[in-house]
Amino acid sequence: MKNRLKAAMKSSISEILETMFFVSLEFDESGNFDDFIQSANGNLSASRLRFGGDLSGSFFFYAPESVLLTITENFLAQDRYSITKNHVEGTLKEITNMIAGSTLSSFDKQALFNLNIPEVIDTNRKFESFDEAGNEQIFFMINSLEGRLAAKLTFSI
Amino acid sequence: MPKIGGSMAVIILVVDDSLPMRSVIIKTIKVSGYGSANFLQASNGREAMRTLGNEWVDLVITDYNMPDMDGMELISEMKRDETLRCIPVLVVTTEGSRTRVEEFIQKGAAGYIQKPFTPEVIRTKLNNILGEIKDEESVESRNEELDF
Repeated sequence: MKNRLKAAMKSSISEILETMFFVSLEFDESGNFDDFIQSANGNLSASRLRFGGDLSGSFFFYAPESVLLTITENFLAQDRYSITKNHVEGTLKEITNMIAGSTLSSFDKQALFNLNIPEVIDTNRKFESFDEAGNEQIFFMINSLEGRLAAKLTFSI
Repeated sequence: MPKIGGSMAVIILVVDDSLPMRSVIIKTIKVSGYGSANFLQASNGREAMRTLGNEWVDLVITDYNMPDMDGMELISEMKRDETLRCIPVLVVTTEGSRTRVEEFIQKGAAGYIQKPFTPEVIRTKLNNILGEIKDEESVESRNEELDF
């Protein structure tokens, strides 16, 4: 089941980031989450979406602030001087929302999941939020022209 | 009633709790052949109901997952209201499960669009829905002419 979920998440991330956010990407199989956090130097934005139903857990999406600003610019087709904090946070939450919805619906078309509203999280509490969310995890490091990104799913059956 | 077809002066209410998503939906619709459409915005179902009480709207495009009142509740509220029940509602959602889609249609949604979407998908859906309105209007105006 975990492999099927992993495949669904991987293809959802590709499709969503490329189609809606114009991010060309490749997955970095050897990527390390701790290195990623350290390289962001504290300038990391993250969001979480909790879900329940036939499967329960949380989706997380992480992006350095500068990368997220570029993604927001591309998403909204606006220059960065007209972009507000609301736009950036909204874009971050929308990415998480789309990855979650798309992953779960392609994982099981018949199942019904209840998705909560995505929220921006304090990245200093990342390990705490990781622990609370479930006992299984799927993690992706993503390389893009804009910079490195990460996505994570924690779940319990 | 606003004129549909030709100049495409339709009024579309976009309901989504995400400000960037509302902006992207509006831009996508504009590049999909509806450049002269007028837009109203609401950040949840409750706000949308208030807008619908005060403004003429040809089409509602709503997110499903929103705080306060979600897209499904919005459709139910609209269907309970005699003046609003005929306004078509298009649901934009990340959730593509068959069960959820059937639920939207059962509640009375005119269609749904799954995110991520392309301008082509938006164009096709809008043409289908707004084309139907146009056809109904043609029939209505023809009947009015006959009555006259």
